[in-house]
Amino acid sequence: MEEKLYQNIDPPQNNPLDIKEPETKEVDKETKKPINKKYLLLIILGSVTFVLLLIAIIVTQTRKGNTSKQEIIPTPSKTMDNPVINDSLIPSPYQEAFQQLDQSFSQDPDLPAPQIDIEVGQ
Amino acid sequence: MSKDVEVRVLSAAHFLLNYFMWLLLFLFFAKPVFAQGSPDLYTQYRNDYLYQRDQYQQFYDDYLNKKDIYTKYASVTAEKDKILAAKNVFLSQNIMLKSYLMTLRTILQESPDNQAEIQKYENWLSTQNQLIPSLNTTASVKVWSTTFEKQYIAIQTTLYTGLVQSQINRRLKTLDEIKKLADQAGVEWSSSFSLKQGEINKYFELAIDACHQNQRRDQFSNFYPEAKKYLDSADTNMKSLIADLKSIIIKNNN
Repeated sequence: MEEKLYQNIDPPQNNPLDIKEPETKEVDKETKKPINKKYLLLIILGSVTFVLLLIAIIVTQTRKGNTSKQEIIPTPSKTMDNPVINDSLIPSPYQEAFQQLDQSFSQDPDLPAPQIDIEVGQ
Repeated sequence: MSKDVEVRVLSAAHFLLNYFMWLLLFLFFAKPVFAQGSPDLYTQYRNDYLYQRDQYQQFYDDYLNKKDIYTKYASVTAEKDKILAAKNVFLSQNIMLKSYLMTLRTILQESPDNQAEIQKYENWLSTQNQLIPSLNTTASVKVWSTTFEKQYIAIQTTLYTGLVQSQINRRLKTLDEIKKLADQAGVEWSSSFSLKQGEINKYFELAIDACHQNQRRDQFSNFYPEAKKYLDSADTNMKSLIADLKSIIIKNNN
């Protein structure tokens, strides 16, 4: 019977002097095929195009919705100044009445509220 | 000798301060003899208020001076002077406030509720001025000051509400005048006019709502600027209404 030589040899993992790093399981690079850069670029560009298309559709729909709600005659904004009208064009019987109306805006009581120090005596 | 002079000066100063205090009290109860409903009543009351405001400022400056002396020397005399000065400030501030409220009442003829509320505080101030001469200690002065501080929040609320209401009343009169003028000129009060009138009334309501916001117990939250903002917006609409009416009248007469 043929003698098995390895029987007398200590397996390396049992040798306390021979400390080895635990073997990490490496992913078999051969089994994972890298994606072709061209395809990757194509996918990215495709995604961007799709997102832009989606945004464009949403914006178009929103704009369409707004335009349908808009009134034909634009309403003046509250801050818009009133048109200046030449008062001489007003018929004379009404001129004085309009003058009084215009003046009435400066007729708020000029009554400055009292300012008191309420800390006096405290 | 110098002590004798000092005592004389101090007693003279005391006499003068007491004299002014009693004079103020007398002035407070002396009612003006203006005829009710006079067109100049507002001007007269307003002038009186401005005078009382100047008086208050003088007494207040004197109080600050006395307070400063008391802080420096902390003597019994300085404390007495400070108490007296504080009492003068209280009296003059109440007189000033009362004259302000009286002035405000004259321009609130169309708002009896506001007038009644104002009158209530005028009476309160009169009652307080009867109590003030009896304050003779720092503690009693402090107690009165704290009471006033709380009441002053309600007074300010009434005061500013009255001021806003008077301005709304004035604008309502203008609105009536615009309508009368449109009627006189044969201009139909169209839907666009009604729309603007509705806007104006909405701003009046918002201004009133601003006056009714809840107040904190310890501090007055001034709602007047907010109310004024709404009144300004009402003015813008009213001016636009007037401009529209002018345009239509000019167009109809051409």
